Amino acid sequence: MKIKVLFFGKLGEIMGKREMNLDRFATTKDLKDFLLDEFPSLNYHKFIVAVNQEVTRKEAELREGDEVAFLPPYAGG
Amino acid sequence: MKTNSSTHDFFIGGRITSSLIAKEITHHGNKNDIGAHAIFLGQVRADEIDKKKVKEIIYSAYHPMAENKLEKIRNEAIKRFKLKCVHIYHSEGAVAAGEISLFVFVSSAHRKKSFKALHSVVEKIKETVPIWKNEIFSDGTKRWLDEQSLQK
Repeated sequence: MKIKVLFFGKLGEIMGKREMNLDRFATTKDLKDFLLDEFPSLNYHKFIVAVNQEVTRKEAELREGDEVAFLPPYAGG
Repeated sequence: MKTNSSTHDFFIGGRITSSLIAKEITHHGNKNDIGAHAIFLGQVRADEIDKKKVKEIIYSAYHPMAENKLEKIRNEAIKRFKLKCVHIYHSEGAVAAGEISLFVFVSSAHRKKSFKALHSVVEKIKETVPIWKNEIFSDGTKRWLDEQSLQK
C-alpha cells in the first residue's frame, strides 16, 4: 500500500529529492514522525502538510494512493 | 485528487511579456459594460545582498493545488467585487531581474471596485498560493526566499 510524498521549495533540496513513494502510514503524524527521524534537518524548517491538495492543520488519516505534500512558507506573487 | 476544471491558464513559462499584457488590454476593448481596469505587474527586483546581485528568480509551484487556489481567488473576487473580468498570470521557471513575473488584471463597471479588488487579489495570491522562489545570484549562488529572508 503506497502513498506519494512531495517536497517543495527548500525541502526538496534538504530531502535530496522532490518525490518519494512510501508504504502507507496510518496518519500524517506517523509520516511526519518517520521523516523527522530519518531526516533530522527537517526539524529546522517550517512547513505545512497538504493531503490531496488540502492543507491539514491537524493529524489526518491517510489512505492508499494519497498524495501528501510538504510545503514551506509560500513565496509567490 | 481534484481535477482542474479551470478554463484559464494561470502559469506562463518564463517571463510575462509586454505583448501578453497588451493583448489582454486590447481583448477587453469590445466589452461595453466595463468602465475600469486595474492592473498589477510584479517585477523581479535586482536585490543586492553582500555585494552579490540577483540575476534571476526560479519560480516553482505545486501545480494542481496552486491552480485550484488561483481559480478560487478569481471566483471569489468576481463575486465579492462584482467584477466583469479577472485574469491572473504567474511565471514559472526562470525570470531574469527586471522582468515581469506576475500579471493581475481586473475589470469592473466603475473604478472603486477595480482598485479594491486588485489589492485583494494580489494579497491573496501571496498568502495562499503554493508557489516558491529560488533566487539565483550573479556568482551562481542560490537562496530560497521565504518570509524570513523577505524584506517588505
